[in-house]
Amino acid sequence: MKLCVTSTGNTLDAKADGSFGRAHYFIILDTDTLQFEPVINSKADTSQGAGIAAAQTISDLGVDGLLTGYVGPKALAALESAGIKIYEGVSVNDSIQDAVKKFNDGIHKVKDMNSNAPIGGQGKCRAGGGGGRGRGGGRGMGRGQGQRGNV
Amino acid sequence: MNKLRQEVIRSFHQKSFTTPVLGVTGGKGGVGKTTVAVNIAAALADMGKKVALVDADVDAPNAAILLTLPLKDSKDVLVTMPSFNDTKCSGCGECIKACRLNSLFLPKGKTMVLLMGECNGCEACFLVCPDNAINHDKRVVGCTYKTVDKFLTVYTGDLQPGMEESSLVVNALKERVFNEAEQFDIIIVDTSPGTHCNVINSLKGADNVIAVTEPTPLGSHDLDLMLSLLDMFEVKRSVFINRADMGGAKNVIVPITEKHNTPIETGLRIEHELLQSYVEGVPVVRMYPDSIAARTFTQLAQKLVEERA
Repeated sequence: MKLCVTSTGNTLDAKADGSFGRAHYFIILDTDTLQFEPVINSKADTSQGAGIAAAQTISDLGVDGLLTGYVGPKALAALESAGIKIYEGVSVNDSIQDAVKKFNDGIHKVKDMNSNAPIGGQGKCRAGGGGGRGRGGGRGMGRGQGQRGNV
Repeated sequence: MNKLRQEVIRSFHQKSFTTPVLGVTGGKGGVGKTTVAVNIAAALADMGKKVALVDADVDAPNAAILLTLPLKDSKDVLVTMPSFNDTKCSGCGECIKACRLNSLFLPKGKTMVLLMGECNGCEACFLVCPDNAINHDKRVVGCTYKTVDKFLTVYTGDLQPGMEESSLVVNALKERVFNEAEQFDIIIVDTSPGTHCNVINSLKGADNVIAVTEPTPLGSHDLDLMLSLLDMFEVKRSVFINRADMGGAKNVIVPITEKHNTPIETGLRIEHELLQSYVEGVPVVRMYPDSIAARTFTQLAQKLVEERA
């Protein structure tokens, strides 16, 4: 199958990346031949919606499955709508090569979409949803509220 | 501190009416901005002036609470939300590239764009769509309110819980007041704490700003930030020191006001009557008109009237 593995580098020796939207590279490979193509994640540092953007990138590449550490709720809904199978729990200590070997050994189970309902549903995002485990990149526009209720 | 470009300053001060606008701000939270705004407003209203008091802290509006007034005459604040027409959409993906929040998603091989993330209503997707395939839907992000109490009209707004768009509510609130500005002798805008966009938007159109502070390290730090912001515009400004008898005024506040060449207008002492009026939700100028605090506010109100005359 055509699999996307999230990666910290652009070779099969690079370590896997546990995050999907904020991963540095997507390694797109054939799980039978191990022929691969690294794709840089140009939206890794975007302030918002990195998961959805990543889902767009790998959907456009026509992958069948995604192997990563964890997929956030919005990206999950996007990947589901694109029919991409999700395999979570890749070890960040593994190289891409080792991760694919484990994948081919069948240790990763495809994520059951019904067990973790996506927040998006039919393309309508519910306000206030979304958690995400972004890796920072905020630019500090905080409000500094101090105590509420003026004396 | 450098001034902003002239056209930015002009746009900040631009207004289509002659009614004076007084901004009450200060940087730090809890220094007494709302107490000052409410009491000046009540004092002016009790002199027979037609006053609009605008509580622009839409994340935590409380001026009406300090006046014990109900919120009336609500109007929804709406923001555009795109919905996609799959019969017109060619699947070109231009909207996806244009969305700065990366909220749009088009599954490969399909021609139905999905809104998967947050939308701030910027409408960039409408501008780039070559197929005219996006409909303007609306969603409610908050409300504005208008409560009339004799000569005093309180305008306020609130944001729906969980929503992010407080700036849209602030702007809708300002627009509502400014559209009715000619009815009033003065508009007093009470801002939220901080020096962020909502505070700047709240102060837009102000020709006089009172920065409320307290003689503490926090108060002086935030006053410095606020006066640095005001330095960038061309607006009359003064400092109001709350709890002035706490002792640090000379040491921590005066150097800041001198640095920014800003006069200290007046101040308040810690006073039982002031605290009691706060607890009761009645402005001190009405509850204890003979208190030192009430007389301070009344004098300040009279000065504002004289400056205008």
